[in-house]
Amino acid sequence: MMKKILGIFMLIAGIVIAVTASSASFAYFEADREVHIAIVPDDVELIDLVPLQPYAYINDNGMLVIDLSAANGNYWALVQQNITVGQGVSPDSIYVFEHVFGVSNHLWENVTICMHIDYSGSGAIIFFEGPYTGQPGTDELDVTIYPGETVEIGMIIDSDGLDAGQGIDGTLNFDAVLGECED
Amino acid sequence: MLVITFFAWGIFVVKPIPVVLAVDDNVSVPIENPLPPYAYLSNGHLKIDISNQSPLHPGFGEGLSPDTVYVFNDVFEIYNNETETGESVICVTISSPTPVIGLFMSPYDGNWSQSIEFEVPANQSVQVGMRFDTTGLSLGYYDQNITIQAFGGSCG
Repeated sequence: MMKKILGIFMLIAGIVIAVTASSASFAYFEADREVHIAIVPDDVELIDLVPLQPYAYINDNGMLVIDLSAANGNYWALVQQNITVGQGVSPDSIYVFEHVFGVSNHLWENVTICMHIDYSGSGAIIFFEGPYTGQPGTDELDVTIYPGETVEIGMIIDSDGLDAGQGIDGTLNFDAVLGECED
Repeated sequence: MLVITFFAWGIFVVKPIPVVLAVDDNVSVPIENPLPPYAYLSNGHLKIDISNQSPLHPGFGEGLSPDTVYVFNDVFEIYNNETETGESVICVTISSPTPVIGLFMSPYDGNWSQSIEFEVPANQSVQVGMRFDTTGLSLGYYDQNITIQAFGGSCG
């Protein structure tokens, strides 16, 4: 009797497997897939920001900082070499710095981008692209960056009306889209 | 005999589900296609890799910096090859456990989600884009998994 029961049981189980196997072309798919990202400093990422002068540097968090004060690590490096370096800009002056930092297009897919650079913060700072030829500067720039290319951004500081000891603080926002900038 | 039949019936009902799951659809029914360069097949499985460890790394652009948002269209696609899936439509859900990794159907229209669901008709594909928000991340490697689920038939 037990053998017979077992026989029926096996038979049914066998049919079940046969039936499901024949219809199991696709019922359900689930898979975990890896995402692996290197978090890297600004100057080596896909669209990278590269300091081109001691006034700009990459901080410990990997972010580009433009700093014309004694808080800039490059200032102390120069001081240690017994080089007399300025600690900032004086009131009522205009400073023009060419190629303070560069913006490069190191995207892997070999595409052109339009980079929109937007400065917000204290007044007195404006930016320009390329060599200085007397252009007025602006707090909003649109620059086309071709694959592998670097555009150089300069900075104009107009300290007119500022007092000694007063700081200038602001943030640069970078926003890029696919394709050349539209005129 | 009645009891036995009932027991056997119980197995009949319960058993098919685990048997179907035990069939490794993963290997026999591929539905995921990487769309390079930020994704590739690693041992037959989709892998998204934005680091210099990727075999597709061109020698520049080592990764993403902190406090940055990158949006990529067409990172990979889900393909319903009807001869392999045997389904005229499949319903696909892709989910990410973190807002660092956002998902959307390409092309990007400004909207993204940690979980997206869409249908793929027979012999068609749907391109999936990804949005990475590295706000607050520190330098180093960031590793996470996304989950892809697919069912035969329409969604909902």
